[in-house]
Amino acid sequence: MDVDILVREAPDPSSVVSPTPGHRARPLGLVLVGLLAFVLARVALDRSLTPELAPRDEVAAKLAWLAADAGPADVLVVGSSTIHRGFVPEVFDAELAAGGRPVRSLNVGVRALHGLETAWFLDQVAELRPAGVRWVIVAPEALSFRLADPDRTRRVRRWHDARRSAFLFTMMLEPGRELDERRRAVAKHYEPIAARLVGHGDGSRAIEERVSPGRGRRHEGMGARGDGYAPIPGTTPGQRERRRLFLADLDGYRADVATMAADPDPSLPPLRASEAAYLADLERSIRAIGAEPIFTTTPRSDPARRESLYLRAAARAGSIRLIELDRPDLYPEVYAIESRFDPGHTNDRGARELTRVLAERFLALIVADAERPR
Amino acid sequence: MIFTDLPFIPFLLFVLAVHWALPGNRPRKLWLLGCSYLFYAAWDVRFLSLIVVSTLVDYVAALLIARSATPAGRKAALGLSITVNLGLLGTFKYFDFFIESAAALLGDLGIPTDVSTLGLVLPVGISFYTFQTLSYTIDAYRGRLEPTRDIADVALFVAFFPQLVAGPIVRAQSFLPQLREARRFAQVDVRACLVLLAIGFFKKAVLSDAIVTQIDLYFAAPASFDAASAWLASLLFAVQIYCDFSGYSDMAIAIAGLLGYRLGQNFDFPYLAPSRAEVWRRWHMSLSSWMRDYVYFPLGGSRGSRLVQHRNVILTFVLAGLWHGAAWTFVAWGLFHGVALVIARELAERRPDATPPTGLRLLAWVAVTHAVTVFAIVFFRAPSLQNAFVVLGAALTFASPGSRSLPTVLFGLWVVAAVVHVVMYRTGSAERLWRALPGPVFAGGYGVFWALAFAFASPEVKPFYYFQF
Repeated sequence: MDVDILVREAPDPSSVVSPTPGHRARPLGLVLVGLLAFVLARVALDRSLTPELAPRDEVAAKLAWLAADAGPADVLVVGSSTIHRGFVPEVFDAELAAGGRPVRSLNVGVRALHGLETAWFLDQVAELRPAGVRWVIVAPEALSFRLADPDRTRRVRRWHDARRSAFLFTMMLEPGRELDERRRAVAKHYEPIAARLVGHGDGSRAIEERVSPGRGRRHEGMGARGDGYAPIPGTTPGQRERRRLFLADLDGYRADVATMAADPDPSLPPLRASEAAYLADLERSIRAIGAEPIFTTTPRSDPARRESLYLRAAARAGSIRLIELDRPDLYPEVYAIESRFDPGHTNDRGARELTRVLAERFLALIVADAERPR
Repeated sequence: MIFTDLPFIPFLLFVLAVHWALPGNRPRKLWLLGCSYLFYAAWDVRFLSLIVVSTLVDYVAALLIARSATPAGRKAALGLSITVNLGLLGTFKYFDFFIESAAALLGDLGIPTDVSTLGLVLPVGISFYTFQTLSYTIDAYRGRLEPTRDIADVALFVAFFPQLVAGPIVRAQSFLPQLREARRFAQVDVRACLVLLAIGFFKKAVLSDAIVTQIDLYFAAPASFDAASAWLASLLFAVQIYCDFSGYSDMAIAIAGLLGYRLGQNFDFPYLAPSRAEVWRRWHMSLSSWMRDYVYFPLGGSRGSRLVQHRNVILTFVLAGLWHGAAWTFVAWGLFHGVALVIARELAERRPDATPPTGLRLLAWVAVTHAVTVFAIVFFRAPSLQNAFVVLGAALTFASPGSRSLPTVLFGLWVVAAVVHVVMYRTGSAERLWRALPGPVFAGGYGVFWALAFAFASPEVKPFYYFQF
């Protein structure tokens, strides 16, 4: 194309006719036609390409497992890596059986499950309608704008659906947030929302899936016993680095834990409207499964622990039922160096201890429920 | 923020909407200047200061040139501009390269040296805007343009965001007059701009980004691949770099057009050129003409003895290579092209009566010319000279240094790309077809195109290759 034609010479002013309303409406009409065609084509592509998108990430794999292979369960335990690496169904089931309440539990934890992704995930679980589930224990992460990176991976894009995007938007507008926080939130979440809206890369992914099916599948399967639990292997560069930093500063870790133990009931931040709405949303999804929601905090001493104090605030307000496991004063054994992989995660030994404590508290709770007069 | 990235869409729409809504020329220019600085600051706000320094120096230098009564004063003002601009470019781009090369040379001579480098980050687009702003003062010195007293005009000329970071390199002579006249939306051929924008996006996001992973894989360890892969990777890199750079240029020209400004053409089907000289008239045309006007002609051009002429050609190409990057691979790339052009000239001059090739002969000439371009481009892509020699060795001897292979489906992709390229060349991008479409049909088709383009774009947005220069 001859690029000189893109911008013509300035027209003779006398020949320029003032635009009439009809002249003005025509470009607008053409823009609308273009947008409509885009939307229709986008919907058609979405319908034809989506079946090609096999589950290649951990969230999709866990949902597929839950739908097809996991078998019936009474208790689902949902959360991020602290649950995936910290909840051992066989220990939980044995403790409950010993307490006279046999159950079958499954570890439905997924690494790096963002707070809002947990909500999305529970919606998907509810759609699967798993039979027989009576309790869902959920350990939600902090409700923050953080993402690992400006990320448009399929997983991040997926949970930026209309509902979660609208929720993010209301969070951004919530009073009390600083302008810079809002700016960073827009910068972080614009990309996955926009990529989802325009279907960025869907066709390329579908082609890739056809050419090399299974490429990029990196999840670890559903554990040696097929119950969803997989101890932290410590083999990835990120895990090795976190372990190295932990071992290099054991004194710092001990000091953090001692501070937490000395102040078991810290002053709690006021519960934001978005946090209350988020927790209510999680409860709604769990009840849609036909189960009783029980929230839990996990034992950690990293900054994420401070950010999950909103769960305590909600429990104090009577909004949720919470099993607090981030209490080194009550459960020093799960905070012991020998039980830890790093400040945020337990090792296999710690996972077994943590599960035993969770089972103990859970048992007390359901026994109390059963004994409560109806 | 790059043109094919999603955050650029609201940025562009907002810039366009406000630009055309503002009354009068000056508010629009100030708006575009602010947006251009914001666009650049999205990469690294620190380096915005370099653009501002270049702008201020060249604004003052050009006015001093115009006002100076003596040749010495004019030379001094030009010297100031050249020193500051090339000084910045040299410090940020070439200092470490020359220090390390000198240390390596001394080391080879048995003289131990202990050098320290600056380790500076290369500011995006510094090579482009340095050449652009230099042309302003040099042209003022040569009396080819009247320097403007409006600093906003000079600042917008240097920082105009559509072409700031990867060209085309715009000449002040063609751009400043456009800034003086108020732009009218009626001047804009919106349909042509939209088509060019779409073509550019398709080239970059769909074609170039789709093959870059395989090419990177090959050039990271060419010794582990077979000879067929050496050919395939080299041919595909030629496709990648063309689609990447010409795609960027198309989008830059189209965006400038939507704002009412005209930028020069930068590519004209260079891979279909039947001769070396023709390649350089069609590839990165704004740099080729810049090197011709500000390096080759001042060196003497085609005046003087045959040897001097050849020296001028080779020196110009070596400098063009160095302009691309501070590495010996780029020097070798420039040298290769310079020598190839000299040989082509010598051969042409021995057959002064030869008729221009047609038919199959033309096809053969195009094929040979493209093959030379592909061999040269190996130096452009390879991370080191050794790496380049491994690739060329495998391609030319058909001896496989390794056993790995690139997927053969990529060869099919190359054939399709070549056929589409030829068809577009013959049909002029189907211009008659899209011009004849009724408005609603064009609008609908355009919407469908973008849905498809987004869907089949590479999921991972890759930066433009020329950003590193």
